[in-house]
Amino acid sequence: MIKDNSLDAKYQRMLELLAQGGTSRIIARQMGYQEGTMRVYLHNLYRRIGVGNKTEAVVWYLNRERSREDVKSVQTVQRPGSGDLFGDMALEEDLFAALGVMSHFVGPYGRVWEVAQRLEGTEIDAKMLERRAGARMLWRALLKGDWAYGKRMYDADAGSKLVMDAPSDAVLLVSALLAGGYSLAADRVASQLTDKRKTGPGASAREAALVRALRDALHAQDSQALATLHKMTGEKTASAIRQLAMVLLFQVYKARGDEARARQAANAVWNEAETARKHLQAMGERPLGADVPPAAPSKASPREKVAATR
Amino acid sequence: MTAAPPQEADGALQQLLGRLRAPLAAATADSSIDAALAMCRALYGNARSRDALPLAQAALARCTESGDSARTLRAATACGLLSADTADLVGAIEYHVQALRIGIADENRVEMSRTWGNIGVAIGISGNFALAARCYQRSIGLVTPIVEPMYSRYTACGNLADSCFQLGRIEDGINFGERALREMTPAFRDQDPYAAILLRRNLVRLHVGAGRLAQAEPHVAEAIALAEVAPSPRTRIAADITRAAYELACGRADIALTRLDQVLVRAREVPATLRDTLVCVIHAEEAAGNAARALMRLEELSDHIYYVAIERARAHVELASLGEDGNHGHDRQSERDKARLVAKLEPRSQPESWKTLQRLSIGAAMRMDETGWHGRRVGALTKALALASGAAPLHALEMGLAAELHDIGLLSVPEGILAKRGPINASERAIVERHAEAGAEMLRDDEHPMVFMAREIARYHHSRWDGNGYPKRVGGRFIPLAARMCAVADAYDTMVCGVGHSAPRTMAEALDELQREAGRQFDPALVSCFDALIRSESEDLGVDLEASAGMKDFQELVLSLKEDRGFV
Repeated sequence: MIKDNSLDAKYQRMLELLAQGGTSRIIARQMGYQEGTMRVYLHNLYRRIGVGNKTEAVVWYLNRERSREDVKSVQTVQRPGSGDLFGDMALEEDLFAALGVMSHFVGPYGRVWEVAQRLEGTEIDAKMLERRAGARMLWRALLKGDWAYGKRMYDADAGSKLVMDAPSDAVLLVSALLAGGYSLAADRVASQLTDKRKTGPGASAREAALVRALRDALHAQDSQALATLHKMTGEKTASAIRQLAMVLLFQVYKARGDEARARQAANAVWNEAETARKHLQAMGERPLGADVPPAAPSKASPREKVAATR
Repeated sequence: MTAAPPQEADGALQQLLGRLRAPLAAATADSSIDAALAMCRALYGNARSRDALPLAQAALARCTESGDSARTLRAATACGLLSADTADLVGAIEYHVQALRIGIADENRVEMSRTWGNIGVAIGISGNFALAARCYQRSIGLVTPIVEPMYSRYTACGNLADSCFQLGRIEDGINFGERALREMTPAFRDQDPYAAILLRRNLVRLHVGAGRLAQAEPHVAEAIALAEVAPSPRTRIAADITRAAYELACGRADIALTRLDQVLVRAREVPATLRDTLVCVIHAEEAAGNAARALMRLEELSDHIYYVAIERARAHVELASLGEDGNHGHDRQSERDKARLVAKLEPRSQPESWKTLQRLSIGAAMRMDETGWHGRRVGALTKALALASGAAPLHALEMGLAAELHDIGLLSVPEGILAKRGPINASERAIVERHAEAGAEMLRDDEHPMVFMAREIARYHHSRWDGNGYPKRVGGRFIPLAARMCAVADAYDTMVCGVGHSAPRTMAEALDELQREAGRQFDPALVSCFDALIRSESEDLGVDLEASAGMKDFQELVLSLKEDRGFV
């Protein structure tokens, strides 16, 4: 029976020496005991910690040491008082890392879009794949807060091409540039978008309003602009605007250090992803393959198995 | 399809009703009230409760004035039964409570027993079977001292058998069913053959539930025989459901499904029978392996039957506290059913014949609209409306695609009639109206849920909210949701683009017209949703709604709805 969790110093020392790979003779010599006495002490130790031999004792010891270290390291970075694991992770790492595989269900050209293409009978050609890859990268940069990515794209002059080919995706670029503080670049792409509007489909009025609100929220610290962004997270018909507004709100609040609101925004994104996942499942899709049961262990007894292999 | 009475007969009926209603206001003779109540009874039997209700209400008002308690009770009971039959649960219970008060004042235990039974029926329609069972028990308890066969005891026992079945108490149910059979006299049977068929139906379902097919069989035969003796829409629906339930138990799901398909069309005209029919259809679809279609039906069941009966009852103050025991059970049950069906679903792809169907529907639309894009536009608008009214993205997409085919039945209408300028006569109108049914025929027997939805839309996209469209007498929430949405989008596109020979209107004028028809031709909730949608979308595009009649701006709006932004 162990009275408390701490072993006394003698056993602690023995475990350390064991872990270094010492035989009972070496440990006896180091601790100044006879080898026979040492064996008795070792068996006492095994009984106390509930193991059967030297190897198990070493494993037990190493596990205990590791878990102690973990506790220590977690305690140093733990944030005070929020019970919201997802929000915390989104703040510490980034939204993309926190969402993990769930990021497939939000953003442009996600899983829902894929299924929609199938239902509509649209062939996804190479051009579409390229457009999709570009938009997904931008979306990822927005989730990660990787603003340099937007700037690199802009510098490579990919912005104007995007404006021509996919105006609604160019809005993502403008947002990334704005959030990264490259307002000059952002303004240039935005004005290209407005010009495009005169000749054909460009950014819609809603998208323009979103960009305006983001700019005001970032630079003028305008609470009215924030309210506009909030309102856009309730858009029913335009999922593009809704999800973009959620992510941008998260980034704005994170930049301002308003952790509580940033967490809320992050959770809104999660809910969006979860809703999409459930919806796909209700349509008979297997979005995460989660409902495939793990292979059942075979019911045959070991003897039968041996017989079968023969 | 039922052999719907021709239009002239309908008109005559309306006139007759009007004539009956007018003298009622001034009548002093009791005979006219008796005649009116007899008329109500006949209409009820023929599934015309919606028409009969105003008549019964007039009779009730008259009786209340004259202070004749026996007749007031009968009129209130009639009003209650008719309200329950049009799925107005709250109204039904109010009328029954009025009847109950009179019964209590007169200390007439027989009438009280009968009224409790009726209250149970109304509650049973809402799906709260535990509560309904308590009403029937009370009905039986009130007439315990009377030994000879009692009509109210007979019906209460029969209904109790149904409640027990729904609650899963099979053996209790069989006991009550057998007891009702013992109580039944030939006079009772002939007086109300529908109740007798329902009793047989309950027994069939209970025996099937207990796995005793042989014992169920004679009851099936009896139900069919009864329906043949007293044919009416109601008896036929009940007999067919009984038969289908038996066929299903025998493993002939495909036959049952074909039968139920026809029953469902009729059942939409008799709201009180729709719930039962849908439950049977869901079982049949599942047994036939069509999980996706079963799920669609289940959604219809939990969506609007639930809305019709339970939500409205909950909103009512007096009933708010009653909703605790049974209703949540129903929610949970349908959640479980959903989960089970979802697990059987396969990932969907486009139906094989879809491209062909789309081409055909363009061909059909070209008879009305020179561009042939009417269907596509309606599809885009329907999808946007579905999204705006809160449907999940892929559901909305499917509804939109299905709505593209709504006019496919126009292929069956001679081009001459469609091309004719000026008013068309009655027989030409009948041919045009047939396009809804023809579309449903063209899209028949396809496994795919999208084609299935397209079929529903084709059949019901000319149904009116007030029940005056075609197919006849299908109205309100008994029109499938997708068809209601398509009706709004279809009307809007027709007005703005001037499809057919009407002059195109501006987008704002067309919206006003929709608003005027909300609650008459269209579902009011959907119209306000559509209104908001068009206004916000056009503002987004910078399109002026007032500006110009015709296609140009509208086309732009539709194109922007169809644009691929990486989202549905």
